[in-house]
Amino acid sequence: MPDNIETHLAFWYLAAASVAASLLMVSVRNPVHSAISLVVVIFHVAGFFAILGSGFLAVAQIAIYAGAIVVLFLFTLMMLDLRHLPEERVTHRQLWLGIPLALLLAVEAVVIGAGTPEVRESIKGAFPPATVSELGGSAEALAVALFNDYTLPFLGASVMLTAATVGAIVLARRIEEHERADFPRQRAQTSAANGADSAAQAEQAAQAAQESPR
Amino acid sequence: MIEPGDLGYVVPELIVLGTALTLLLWAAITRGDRRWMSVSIALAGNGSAALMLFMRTPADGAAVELFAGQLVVDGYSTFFRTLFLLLASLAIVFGAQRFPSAPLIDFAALLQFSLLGMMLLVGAADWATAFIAIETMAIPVYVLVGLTRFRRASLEAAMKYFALGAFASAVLVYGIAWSYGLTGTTSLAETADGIASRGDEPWSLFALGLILVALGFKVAAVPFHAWTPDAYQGAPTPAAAFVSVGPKVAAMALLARVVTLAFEPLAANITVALAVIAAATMILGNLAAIAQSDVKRMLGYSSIAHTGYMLVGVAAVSQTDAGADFVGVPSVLFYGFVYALMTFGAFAVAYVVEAQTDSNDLSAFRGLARRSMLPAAAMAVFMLSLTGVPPLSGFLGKLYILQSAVDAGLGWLAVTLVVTSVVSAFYYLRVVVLMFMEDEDAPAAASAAADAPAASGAVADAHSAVVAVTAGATVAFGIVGGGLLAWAQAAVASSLL
Amino acid sequence: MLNAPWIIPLLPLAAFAVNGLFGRRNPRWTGWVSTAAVVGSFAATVALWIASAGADQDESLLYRWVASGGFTIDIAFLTDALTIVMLLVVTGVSALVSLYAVGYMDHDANKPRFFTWIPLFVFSMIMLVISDNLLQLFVFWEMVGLCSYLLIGYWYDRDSANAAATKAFLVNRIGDFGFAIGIILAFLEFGTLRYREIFAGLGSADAGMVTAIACLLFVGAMGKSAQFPLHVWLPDAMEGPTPVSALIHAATMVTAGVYLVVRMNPLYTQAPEALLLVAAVGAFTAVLAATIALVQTDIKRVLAYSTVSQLGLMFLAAGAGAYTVAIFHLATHAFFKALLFLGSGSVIHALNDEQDMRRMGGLRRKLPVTYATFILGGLALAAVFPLAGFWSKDEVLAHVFLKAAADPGGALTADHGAGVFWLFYATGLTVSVLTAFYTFRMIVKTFHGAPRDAALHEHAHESPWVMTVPLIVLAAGAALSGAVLGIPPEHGVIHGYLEHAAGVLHLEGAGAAPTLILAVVSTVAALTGLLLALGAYGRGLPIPQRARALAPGAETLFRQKWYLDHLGDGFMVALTKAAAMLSWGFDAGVVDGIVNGVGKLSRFAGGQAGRIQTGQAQNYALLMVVGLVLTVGGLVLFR
Repeated sequence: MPDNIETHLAFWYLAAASVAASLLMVSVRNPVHSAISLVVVIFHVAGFFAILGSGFLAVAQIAIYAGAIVVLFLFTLMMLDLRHLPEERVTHRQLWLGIPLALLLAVEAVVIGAGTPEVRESIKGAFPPATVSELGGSAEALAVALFNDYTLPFLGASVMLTAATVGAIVLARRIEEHERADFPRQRAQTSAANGADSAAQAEQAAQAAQESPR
Repeated sequence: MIEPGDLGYVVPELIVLGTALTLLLWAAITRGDRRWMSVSIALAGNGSAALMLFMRTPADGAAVELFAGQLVVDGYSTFFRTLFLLLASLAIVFGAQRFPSAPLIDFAALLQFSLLGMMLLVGAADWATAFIAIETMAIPVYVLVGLTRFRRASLEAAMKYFALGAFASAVLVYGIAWSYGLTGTTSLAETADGIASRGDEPWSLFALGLILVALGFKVAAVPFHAWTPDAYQGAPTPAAAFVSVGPKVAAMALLARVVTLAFEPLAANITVALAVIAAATMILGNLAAIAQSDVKRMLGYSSIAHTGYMLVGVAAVSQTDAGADFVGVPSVLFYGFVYALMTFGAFAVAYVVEAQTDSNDLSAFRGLARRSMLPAAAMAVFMLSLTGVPPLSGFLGKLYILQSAVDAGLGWLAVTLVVTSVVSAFYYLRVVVLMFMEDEDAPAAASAAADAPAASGAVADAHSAVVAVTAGATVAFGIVGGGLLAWAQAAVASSLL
Repeated sequence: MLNAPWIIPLLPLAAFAVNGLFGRRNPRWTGWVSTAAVVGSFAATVALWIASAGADQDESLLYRWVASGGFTIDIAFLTDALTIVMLLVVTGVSALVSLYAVGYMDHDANKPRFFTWIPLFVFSMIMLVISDNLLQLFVFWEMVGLCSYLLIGYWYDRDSANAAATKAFLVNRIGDFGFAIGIILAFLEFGTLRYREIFAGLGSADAGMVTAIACLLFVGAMGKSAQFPLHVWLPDAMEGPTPVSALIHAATMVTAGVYLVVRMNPLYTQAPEALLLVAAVGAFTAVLAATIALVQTDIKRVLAYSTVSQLGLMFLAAGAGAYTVAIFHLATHAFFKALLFLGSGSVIHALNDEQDMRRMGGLRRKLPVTYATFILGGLALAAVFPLAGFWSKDEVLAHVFLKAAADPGGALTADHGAGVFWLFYATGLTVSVLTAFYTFRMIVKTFHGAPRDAALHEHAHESPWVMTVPLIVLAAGAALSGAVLGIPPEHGVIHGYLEHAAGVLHLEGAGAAPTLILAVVSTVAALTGLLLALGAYGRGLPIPQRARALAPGAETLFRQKWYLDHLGDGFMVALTKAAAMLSWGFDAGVVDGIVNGVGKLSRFAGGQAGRIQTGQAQNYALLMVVGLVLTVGGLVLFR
């Protein structure tokens, strides 16, 4: 990261805005608003890549995430009936413990940071902007890394995605009547959960089951 | 960069991948009952993969780094890959008993994908490969848990497992990112150098903590275990059997590599953290198992307890001087191997009872010995072995773990292990008592008689073979466990640790 | 061939395999297969005994089971004099009982099962006594327990048999828990589990640790040998078939605890506090069980309590440091108690499985052989001169006396006594009186007087030869073994022989005169009890009524078994409930409680009760975050 005032200003703006947009994303009620907040987050993260000198990554981030994935989200949301959102504001009760826990984690991080004051200087990566430009720009640097050092994970990722696609198809396929019929003695067990909250959870799962074939 | 020679070493993985794709394609172009054929394809694939595994093992036993240091083929990974090929084969035969044709192909294909992930995971020498392998292993497993989509419990379990698994993955990536930031490398071996140069400074420990937590989720250590009983109970039984052994042992293998390789400079800190987690896991897993009335839930808590035992071994590993006369890592390998076989077998018998009585309740085991002697006898073997009764393999496993703990000066942990093992006798032996000492409920017996298992003879025989193989191995590795331990020791000696 | 110890366990193991595999198809032969194998074992033991005469001890490694680093676990045979004596007792009694069972179990539909477990038991028992290390001993300790459990519950269609089996199982777990911890401590202290190496390491061991190990091992012995307060399972174990009671629950398995203490005697000698505990528990158990035996009406239960009582005497002897004497009494007791059980089995067999003495009487003419042998066994149990029990029990009491007399002022060590041994001696004499009394009460009620149940009496018949031959052989043993082995007192055959077994000590300094006086005292005690019983039940003298008037409430106390069963049951029930509650509470209260509790806590914090969306997955995630914070925080804070 170039050590000048503009870059610092840009960094702090991007950091603050991406955290704020992330918070907005998980707290608004309307899923469409959530998706749009996500787009904002993604744009700001792309900004980080830009100030680190990786223009290609910044563009790819926007094209793939904002362009493809979030649009896919929005398509899915359009298929849902958004008129039946819960009226009252959704508040996870876990929030009230989650927030202190998050704060505690943050405090720990601060304590840790205080214990290691030189960390900012010593944080390093294999691809500082200088190296990237030496390699002939971010696209080429990325290609070199991806197709030399990280070939196997790159190939592995494609296998993983294949597996995930197969899994999604398996789960989302229409339940054939004969599937049930083949298990005449297999009762639908009421719920895996024990405890007071299981009924609500089972309802959710049932809704998920209803939705998935569509 | 892929060197042509590198591919030769991953022929087993390529065969497994090919088997998965073959199953999918073949499912698309055929109709009718394809159970026999899908089992054959999977078994042939796994069999030839195992064959290639031993043909392609480096002759001098040294570790070979492949794909620019991403993957390592060493005795350590061969040990686990052998186990996983065996487990996946058993799981497919088991699945053939449970699933009709179409879901069986899905089951087999997903199983092969997961198997591939596990095989890559135990050979991972770089965080990038490790992460991809973990996800390749885990994603099919989430689907396997939810494979019986028409049951709420199954879907619910899959949802929970998936959501929490994604959370754990996020924690893992965060930890990896910190590790990379501190050391400038993703290679496990080079990470050790980077960490060593920094000492036990807080940020290193922060990265370590995140990674331990994420792997703790994968092995179901307390307090990251909460998904386990729900997932096992909701999953179709063959899937539960596989989930309870495969991914857990694979993640344990990675954990052992991480603590002995990447974060070896922080061994003292790891020992303390893992010892506390191990103690909590053993205590909570065993106590909670006592209260269970559902056999799959009970086995879920039991598997948590056994995670604790294995973690004792891992905690001891990081304390022991390498080169000393130590059981250390080999004890974890040994335990992982025998644990996998006996727990898998217990699930297989649980399915026999499920097929007879349509129930997973422990009371369905009442009088099993009078209905079906072989499964009851095998279950007794599994339960006694899980308890750690000599001369079964579970006893030897615990003995080796104990010895490493004592050698590492973790006497209090050894005592915890023994005491919790004694507590575990309470719920394991209850099953034995139910099977052998009590009469079955009249209605259950009647319904068992009326609804004789619908599976055809060959499939039922194959399932009996699964039970017999796991039970036989559980007994045999107890009596002649020295051979397995010697293999584990040789595997560790020739590994990138 | 002569010195081939492996053949001794191999034969019963083979019989187990044969009967287990083919027994169902050929039930007729199972009994003979078992008997032939055990007789073969006995012959091999005798051969070994002859071959090893004079040799100190011989160890042979059979199979190195675990070898990792410097640590090994072997299946190995240690054949010293102590082992050989135990082997002779075990295989000898087993052979006779197996033969007897051929007749006794003849009409039982499930006898292949019976004759599968019996050789397995014999095999396990042999492996237990022949072991050269604590772990092998423990493994087979559990195996004999398993066989005992299976055979107590042999008639599984009887609820009482199942309950008894379960009780035996649970009570023994308590003992084995202590035993296991003792073994682990021994391993931690000595770094080995082989007897010889443990004894070699005693010199440099921590004294407190040695005492702890000795006490914990004794807890195991208490469970197996039915000592207070873990004795409650043995009387209930009489639900098993009578040959099982004779073999496992009188002559062999229950004496394993005594064997353990004697085998580990160098350890106990180093731990005088533990020895005192052994003696105290033994003495108390002896008198406790003897009083309960006074009022039992079931013939087998009288014998069961008698066994508990006699085992108490053996522990008393061991606790006094007289290890040889403990083994001596163990051996003679095996003869006469097996005889009494088999005799009672013969009676029960004759009376269509009637065990209640209140429905017996007048059987002596119907069952002459049984009667004659039973009388011999009873006299031996009552320790009447010159039968077996006299010699061994007299020595037990003599040694307790000597222990009490030996330098009571000094520190409590192996060579010094403690005043409390006077009390133990008095207890022993009391037990002698009680033993003779309940034995002859039993004999009179069973064989004398008028038949109390005419119908049963009518059909009573003497047992077939396969049952009477063992009775006769055992009667010979009960009559003669004491004199053959134990004359002259303190320097008999068994004493001389056992001196070869390393470390088996006996107190010196018993001159002829005090020995004679002590013998007369204990004989008088025995005869007192005997005459009282004959007077009370044979002549109808109002002795029991007087006793009741003298000590009101005592009878109730004895009948209720000192309320220990209630206490024990209550304790077990409470324990089970507590365990269930604890674990359920743990699961519901802690596991789910942590999980849901954090949810509730946050609900409390948010004050949003009722209007919240909930779900366990979120709670699980929250729990993970708690774990994350603790792990990271802990790592950093405690680095």
